[in-house]
Amino acid sequence: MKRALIHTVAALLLISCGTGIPGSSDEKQSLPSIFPDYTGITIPANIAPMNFRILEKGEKFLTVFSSGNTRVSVKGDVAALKEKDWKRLKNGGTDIDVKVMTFNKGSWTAFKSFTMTLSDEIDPYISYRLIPPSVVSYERLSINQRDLTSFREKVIYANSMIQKGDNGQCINCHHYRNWQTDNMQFHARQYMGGTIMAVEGKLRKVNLKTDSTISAGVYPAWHPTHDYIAYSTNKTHQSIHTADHNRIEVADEESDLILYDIKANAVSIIENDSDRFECFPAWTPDGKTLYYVAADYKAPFGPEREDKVFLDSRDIKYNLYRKPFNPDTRTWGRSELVVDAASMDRSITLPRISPDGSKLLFSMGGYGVFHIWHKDADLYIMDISDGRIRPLTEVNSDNVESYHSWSSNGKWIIFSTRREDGAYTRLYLSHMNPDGSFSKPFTIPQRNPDFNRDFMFSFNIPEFMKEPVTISPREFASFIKREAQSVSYQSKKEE
Amino acid sequence: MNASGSFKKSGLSPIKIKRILSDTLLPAAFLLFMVLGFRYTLLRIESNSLFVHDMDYMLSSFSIPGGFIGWAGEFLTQFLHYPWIGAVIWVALAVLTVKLVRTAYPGLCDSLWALSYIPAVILSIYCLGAGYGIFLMKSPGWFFIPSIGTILVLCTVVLCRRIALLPVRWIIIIISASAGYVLAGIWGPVSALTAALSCCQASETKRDYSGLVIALVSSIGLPVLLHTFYTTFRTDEIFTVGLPLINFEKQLPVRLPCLLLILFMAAAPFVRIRNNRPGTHKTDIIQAAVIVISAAALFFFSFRDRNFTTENAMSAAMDRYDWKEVADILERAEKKSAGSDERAYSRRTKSIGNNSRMNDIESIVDRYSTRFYEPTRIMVLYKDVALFSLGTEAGSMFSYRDGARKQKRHYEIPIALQAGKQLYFYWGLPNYSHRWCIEESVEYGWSYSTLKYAAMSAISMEEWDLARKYLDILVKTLCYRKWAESQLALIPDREAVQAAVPYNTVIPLMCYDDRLSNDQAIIETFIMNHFTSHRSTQATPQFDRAAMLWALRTQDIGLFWITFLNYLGSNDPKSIPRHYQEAAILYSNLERNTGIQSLPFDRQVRESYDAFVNYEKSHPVRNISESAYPYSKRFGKTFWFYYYFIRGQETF
Repeated sequence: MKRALIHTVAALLLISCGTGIPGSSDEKQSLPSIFPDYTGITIPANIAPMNFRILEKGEKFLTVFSSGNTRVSVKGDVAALKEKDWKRLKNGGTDIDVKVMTFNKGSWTAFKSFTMTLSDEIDPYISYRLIPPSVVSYERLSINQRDLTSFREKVIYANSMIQKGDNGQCINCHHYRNWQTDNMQFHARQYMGGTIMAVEGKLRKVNLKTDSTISAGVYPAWHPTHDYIAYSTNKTHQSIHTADHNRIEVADEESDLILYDIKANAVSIIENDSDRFECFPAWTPDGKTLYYVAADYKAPFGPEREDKVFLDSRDIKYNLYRKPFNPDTRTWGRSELVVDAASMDRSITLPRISPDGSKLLFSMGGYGVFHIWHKDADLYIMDISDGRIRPLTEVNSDNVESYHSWSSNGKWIIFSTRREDGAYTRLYLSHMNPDGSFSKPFTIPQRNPDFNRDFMFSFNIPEFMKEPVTISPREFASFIKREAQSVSYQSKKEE
Repeated sequence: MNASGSFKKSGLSPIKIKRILSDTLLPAAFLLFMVLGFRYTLLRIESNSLFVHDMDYMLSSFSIPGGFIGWAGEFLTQFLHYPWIGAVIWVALAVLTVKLVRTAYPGLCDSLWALSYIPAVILSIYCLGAGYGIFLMKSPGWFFIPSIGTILVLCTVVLCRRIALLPVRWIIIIISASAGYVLAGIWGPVSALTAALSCCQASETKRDYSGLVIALVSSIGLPVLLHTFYTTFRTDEIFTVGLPLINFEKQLPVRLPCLLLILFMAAAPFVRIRNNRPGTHKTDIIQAAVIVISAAALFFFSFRDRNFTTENAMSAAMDRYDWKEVADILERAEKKSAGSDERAYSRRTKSIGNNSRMNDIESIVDRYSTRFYEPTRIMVLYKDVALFSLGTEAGSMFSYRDGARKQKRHYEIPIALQAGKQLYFYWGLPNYSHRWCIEESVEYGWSYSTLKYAAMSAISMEEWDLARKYLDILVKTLCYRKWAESQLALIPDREAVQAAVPYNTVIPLMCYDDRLSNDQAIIETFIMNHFTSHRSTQATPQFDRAAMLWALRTQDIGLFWITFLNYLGSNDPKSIPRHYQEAAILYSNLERNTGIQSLPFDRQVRESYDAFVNYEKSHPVRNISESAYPYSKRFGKTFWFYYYFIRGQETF
């Protein structure tokens, strides 16, 4: 309270000197309404300026940021800071206090100040796919990288660089080994399709489909220590709800898990139970266990299977499994059920293990595996040592929480959510506190705070990166135009 | 004193008088032609475009070379919302083009000034000849892009010719090729090259071949260099980016006018009209010939199709929820065709009279079939929505001509992309409406129309935040701000929404159980199937009414009885609308079913059916197409005419 008072007086002095506004104001005990909601958040020490728009009514606006002896005031209903001022504030020695004031009918109102707590640094880069929430049209897709310490954003690859007319190209599943970009991959589907990989910085294009597998590789998990990538293989279909707010349903008609041996350029089966859909592999940091989700489902194979899957879609529940792996001998142990979500009438997807191997973050909803379209999907965390699970209530909303990733230091998570409007996915960050709880989530800052409201694309598959992708979009494009290398099929090794 | 006398007094020569008259009357005539003949096309073009008064929106245009010219085009396109204003702007640009051509190419236009109209005529053909291509145009601002591009090129030519200092000229050429490429795409390098070519031939300044070399190098080299900074287009589009783009395999038809314009401007400096002294009889004849040929070309190449105009007019009325107007437009179109139908019928009868062989008769009937008026499927579907919203469908839906005349187009455009968002929304399927808004936006960019239906879909689904997202964008537009504000004022008040137009007719239809499905872009079949096969226990009287409309369209007797029983259960069974009575009488007679005797059918309906049966006995049908017209004159407004003569209708 004392500190808030000091800041208010300082702010008033500032505006009195700088703008000639009388040095008195009405104190309001409520926080100002701002977009994005950055009140009371914990932010990385190296994050870009947290610009926001003041949603309160007023004829004039003033925002005073202060940290230690450093104060920066911004006029107008958009509190946008210059990067150098933001740096000064972050170097001010304390957390950043923010005081918002509005001027109405001849007097100023000062809202209750709020704090942005500076915390651990975050990986400087993230990448994501920008995609409209469409069903069949994917003319405008790009995988972009964003420098979180500034507002710089660059395209890694965009499908507009190659596709032509009916030769549409879907790009998806960008993925990095250990948050580093010299080993990375993404898929190009349909026109000039194949998996584009950078292995130790060298590009290659492979076709992971073999006669013995359902499809080419889909959801990837790059082995942390050896040259393997685990993939799911999926035969997937989309369908549209006539009335449900979830709008679209994406379901597996078939799915298995495969392992791609990069050096041998060969794939082998990990799991291919015909009565089970296996999906979303994720390695533990030591590379000795593979987590994945799987749903038991029996239906005859044939032309009616797709319709049957959709009819049964609400009954298809994915559980969490793990499977031991010896990376040196490429041998697998027996799968083990870790979380029986089906018994709770729930369905798990996207297991992601923290860098220290102690926690497992996943998304859980009522059914299915493609939770980006499920409004009831929330984030949950499991303590791997004792198997205890809890919902991240401090992070979740009443809308979709789906794809999520850990920062390389394990202090931050980024996740996609549709909490803002229910249809367009946005990226939120949250800090893991020492006690294992998470801080209030906030959307990644943009130069124009209205950006998230106006932007007509969804942010999809956020992944942290320690460094930017340096391969140029044109280099990727020229590689995509090449013929894909075929892979051979290896038999599975079991203990 | 006569007029020329007064002009003489004012110092105007007869040549100038002719030129002034021509420069005034021709644009005025074109303006009338554009507004009166293409008013609804202009409205449709506008509703398929979007201009947001927002800095970020402008900056986003820089993501592709030529994006800025598209942005400027979109800015001007917004004025087509008021077709007169939009057309005046378009004509003003065309007049400016004419003036610039005369200034840029005096050697060409001094004696034969009518030649200066050629670029304007090409531009007119481009704009008015697009037809159904307006649904496939992918370039924002496509309607104005060639006009702006041409003006840019001509301004560069004029500027370069007026600058004698070579280094300054070179700088202009380099700026045109580089900054021009960034802002206007290929129109930039074209400006540089055309200006350089023009300066090679300029008589009033020193001939400059060095500029041509600089222009060639910069016009080829700079785009190749600059394209590496972009990820929004393919390498093989380096020299076409900025030209209009159509979602069709062949780009030539839409780009040909631009290429002709470029060709004209590149060739014009080299054309010298000799031995044509202005004002001579010979020159006058040539000028007149140029104007007549231009007018004929414009008339021939502009897309004038009654069904296309009617579709656009109905769509515009529908977007205003003016349901009566939607139906009236169709009625007026039918009335206009009455004379031509009669002529086609008498000629066909005469031709058939001279033939007795069945094969010959069939081929004659086939030959004449397209001469009879027939609406396109979209017109029929729009009309059904309008009548249902008016609540008169059960007594009048068959009062209009039915059919599925093929749209006059060379491209494949699914009805879902033309009208999916509208039809799904008004038939109470907002999820599907929203879905088609998104699909359309991915293919062609967001438009006023897609934003509007996406917002209405979200409102009817009570997804307030999503609705706000779309409406907040429309608030930043010139012509849709008021509408958007009126919608924002409704939310999140559920009761206010339910009472407001058009939600008061749409929301009562949203009483079905959710199911997973896919329309495969065949929307009519999907909606038909939705209403006739997926009734829930919460069905409202409105849903049962809609189900009846679609059940009648299926011509399925079993389905009719089930739907009819549902209808009688939820609506007033004492007052059965005319078409339901007609269907019930017809089907019960076909099935020899006497179970409907107790229903309160009108005497006139029964008598009309008897008259139909008796007429059929005296005028047996040997060929449905042949008999349709005479039968339609007597029974065209009845269900039994629809049942017997509109068979095997293709659905979309």
